[in-house]
Amino acid sequence: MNRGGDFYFAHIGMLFFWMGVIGVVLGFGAFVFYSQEIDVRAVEAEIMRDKLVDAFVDGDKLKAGIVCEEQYCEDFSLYEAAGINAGVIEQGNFYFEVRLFHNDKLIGSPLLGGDSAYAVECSLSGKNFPVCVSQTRVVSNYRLEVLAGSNQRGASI
Amino acid sequence: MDKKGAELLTVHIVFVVIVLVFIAAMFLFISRAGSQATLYEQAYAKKIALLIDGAKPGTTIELALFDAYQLAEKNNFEGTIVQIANDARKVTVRLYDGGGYDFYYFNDVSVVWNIDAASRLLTLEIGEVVKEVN
Repeated sequence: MNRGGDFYFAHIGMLFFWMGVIGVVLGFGAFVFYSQEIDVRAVEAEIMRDKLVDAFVDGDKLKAGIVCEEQYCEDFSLYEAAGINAGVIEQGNFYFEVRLFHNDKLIGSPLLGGDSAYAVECSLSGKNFPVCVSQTRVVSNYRLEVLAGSNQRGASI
Repeated sequence: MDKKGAELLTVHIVFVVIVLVFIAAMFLFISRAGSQATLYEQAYAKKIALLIDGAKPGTTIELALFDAYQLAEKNNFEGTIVQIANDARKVTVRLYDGGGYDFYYFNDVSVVWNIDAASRLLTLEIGEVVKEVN
């Protein structure tokens, strides 16, 4: 091939090369933009935390029917009191931990729900770890500590 | 025109045609990839689930679905755009055939929902769950 032919074929080759580069970059950009996730885990965790707190606290006092002789009353159900569905919580995308103290003494055992692995993962930061929020409320001689977490991302069908 | 000129013209015409075909292909790809239906399905499913999660029994919520209907019409989708399964506590939003996005809500309430196609409004009536007495 003479020098004119070299130039001719190199020119065509570079054309297709740059078309390929532009195509890949545009395709990757479109993929990244339109596959982004809307993260509402923090909002979910906050709603759950507030519902758990409201299950115990009424204004500036502890609700009746929760504590019976320094233990949780027999017919007290946190899921019912908070209005939270146990089936959805136990699916594995949520977690909560509630501790109630009376004069700094823990009442009963911590009330837990959801994926227990989140108890550790709540303190870790990263895209794949749950988003957790907590609140401590003091009413009368009781101290309520609530931790709620969500890692629900939803799913395309 | 001499032979060399004809060859040069042919080369340039071929070059322009290839570039035009490439631009058309890129445009087609971007317009198909960017239909936004998937993103809107996700957004609406999460928005509806969060509204239910934060609602108390006795609340009525109205949500406009204009954008959702617009996308569904663009994709020639004639099915139900929003479905709420009370037993599974799940919201499903579909804006095109073969698509759909699921999201769960944890609020223990019953949801009576209705879509008015004329006004493109979704109405949610939040009520107490009726517990079975054994």
